[in-house]
Amino acid sequence: MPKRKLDPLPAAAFQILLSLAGEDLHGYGIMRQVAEQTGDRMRLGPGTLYSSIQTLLEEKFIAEVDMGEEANGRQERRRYYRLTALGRKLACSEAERLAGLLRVARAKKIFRGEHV
Amino acid sequence: MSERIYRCLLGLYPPRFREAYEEAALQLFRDRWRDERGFVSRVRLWLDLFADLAVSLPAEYRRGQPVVQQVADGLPSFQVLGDESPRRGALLAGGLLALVVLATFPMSIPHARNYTAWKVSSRAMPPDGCAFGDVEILPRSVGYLKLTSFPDPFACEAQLRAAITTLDRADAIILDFRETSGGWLTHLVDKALTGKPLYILISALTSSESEKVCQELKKQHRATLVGERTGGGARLEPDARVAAADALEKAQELAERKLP
Repeated sequence: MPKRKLDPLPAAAFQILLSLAGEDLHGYGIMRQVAEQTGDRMRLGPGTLYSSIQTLLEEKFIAEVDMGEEANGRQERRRYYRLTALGRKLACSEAERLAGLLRVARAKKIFRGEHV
Repeated sequence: MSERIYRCLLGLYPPRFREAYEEAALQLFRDRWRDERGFVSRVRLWLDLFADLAVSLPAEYRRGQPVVQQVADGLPSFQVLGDESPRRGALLAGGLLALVVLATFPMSIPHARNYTAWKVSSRAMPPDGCAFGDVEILPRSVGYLKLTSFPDPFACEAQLRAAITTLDRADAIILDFRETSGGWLTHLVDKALTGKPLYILISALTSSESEKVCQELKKQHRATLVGERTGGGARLEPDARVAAADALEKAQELAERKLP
């Protein structure tokens, strides 16, 4: 069986999936959204961003949407990306995996003080 | 200007990626360039870009490689990684390169030998080659050899033999060891310079091998030591004690007295 490319899911890919959960975004929009949701810790560069997008597209976790002229009339045509049902499922299972990890961490009293 | 630089950097990506995303990547660069102003932001932007390049470039090139599939555990499987046949130019270049390597190897062998010879001789020879001293024939046929340096007896054998031959023509011989400690003459003097009065000039500077030569020749009652006590471990006493500076004059005097 061929190895799946997104197993385990890279952090960048997961962040992209999350950023698209709310709305369709173009590349720069994704970058900004990811920066925002990680508190500016992860600033995706063009190479990493489009590399991840390419992989996610290939595996059909996201899809390209042509917003065409009407949405961005005066600007040059940009490619927007949308989360597919499959992508949502993947993001969900990854989030659950992380939630499970978090439960373990809590049970082991990893956190200190008032945190969580 | 900055955009042009980034466009060049994007040229490093594989063509497949460039075709699909070069414009989008440039657009993203332009957006960030527009939004992030000020020196610190710009520096951060470039740092981001280079970090991104370092991470994503290898990943993009790896992506181009097909995943090698194992048919079953324990069974060897073979797969051709590149499915295109090599370009004719590449074959030509490869062939030429192989020829160059093959030709260079045999051609370099004689040079390699020269190189080792050169290395040996440059280590053995003093800077002035085999100029180890002066041979002079003094009045009344007294041969005089003053040693100033230590030639390698192996490398300078011919010159040494020539010097000994010249000396051998004289009726008496003075070897000046006042400024040396080398002992290369031993095996040459053993066979030559026999049956003639032999004087060796010594001083406090004479030591080590030179002392051994003196000792040996003295034991054979062949040499008369003239000058000062030697400075090496042997501390040889001269037969005729004079100041080192006057030793040559003294030896000449002794030699002339011996000669008919």
